[in-house]
Amino acid sequence: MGDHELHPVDEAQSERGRAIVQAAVAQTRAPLGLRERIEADRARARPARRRWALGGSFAAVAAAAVLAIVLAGGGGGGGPGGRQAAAAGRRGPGAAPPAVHGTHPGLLKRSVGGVSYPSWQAKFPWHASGAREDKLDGRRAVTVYYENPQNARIGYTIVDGEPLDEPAGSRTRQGDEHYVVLKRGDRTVVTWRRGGHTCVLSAPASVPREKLLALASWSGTEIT
Amino acid sequence: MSEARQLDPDSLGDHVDRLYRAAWGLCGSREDAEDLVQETYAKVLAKPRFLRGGDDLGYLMRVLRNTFYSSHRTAQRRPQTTAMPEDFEPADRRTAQRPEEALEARGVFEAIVGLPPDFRDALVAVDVAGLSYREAAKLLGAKEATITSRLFRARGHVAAGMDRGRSSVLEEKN
Repeated sequence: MGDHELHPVDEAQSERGRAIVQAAVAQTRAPLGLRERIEADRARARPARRRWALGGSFAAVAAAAVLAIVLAGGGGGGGPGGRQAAAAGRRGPGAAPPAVHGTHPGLLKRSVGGVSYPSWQAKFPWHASGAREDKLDGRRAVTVYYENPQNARIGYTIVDGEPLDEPAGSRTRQGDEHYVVLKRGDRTVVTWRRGGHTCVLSAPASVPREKLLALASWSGTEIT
Repeated sequence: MSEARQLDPDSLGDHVDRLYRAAWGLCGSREDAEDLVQETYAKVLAKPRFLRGGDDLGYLMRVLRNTFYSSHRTAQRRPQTTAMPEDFEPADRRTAQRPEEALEARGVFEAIVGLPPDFRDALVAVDVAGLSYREAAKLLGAKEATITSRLFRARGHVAAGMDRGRSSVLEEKN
């Protein structure tokens, strides 16, 4: 392309070029491997930070409690102890699963603060199997449970009210949302913010991280 | 003048996509773009950085450009390897189901790389990285009017380059 000076550009051609570039930009994101390498560099560079499940602030306490509930309800051991987690574990998913939304098959008929739970079954081998509602220092935390054909269970919790502090963990971004991935005992936990609320997904370690991120990033609005 | 504030390492991840696209537009290959972005982050994270205002992206773009011009041009003199189409792995999972779009995007970035440097830099700064004209002018040390003019022509030449690419593909098929 050494003859740029020889060919004038008209308005329509320039506008077409803008649209072409815009389309290419919209479909291009940094590869996950790059994100992970940068995250590893960042984790090495930063000073020791407050752990999610430690610390005395309200947000940290609430976050720890959410994590405990999700872990306990999700069926995995090894999570943080405490009466709250133990009580949650005893209760288990006590309610029936929400039904699939009639007009939006990618969603369930359950939401918290306007954030709906997805119905994955049309896209992934996970179906809603139960639900539970808890109060954490006055905040509503609703967990919907999903199971796959191998009877593995995932807990999907949305916490009402202001979002919680983000925990320290491996961060990755997809679209407009970024996700923090943690390992807790034999569970993998992903947390992110959607619609101004904290969402937490907890799964057995047998569920690959990538699968869990795919589930987390799938809002359910993809199917209409 | 606003007070200096420390660049928050935790917020840097928000800019990875934009930097990666910009790096691809500069380097011309995804592999080099990944290396450039990682090198950029490594430099920024090496020590605390203090900025005035909220222009994190502009700062990162400056480091990325400096890194590109200082090291990647030297590297480009070495023998290059090119990913073959069958090896092409879409950067975005969404395009994994639409390989033709991924290849189209690659063609667009190749057209951007082929632009004269001034045009390419303006287009990368504004259309690819998403800087404002003002931010791009500051980054590139040019007037906003100059950026506008370069951008206008750069866009036109990308369109022309894509047309030529499509024509040659059609000729090969026939």
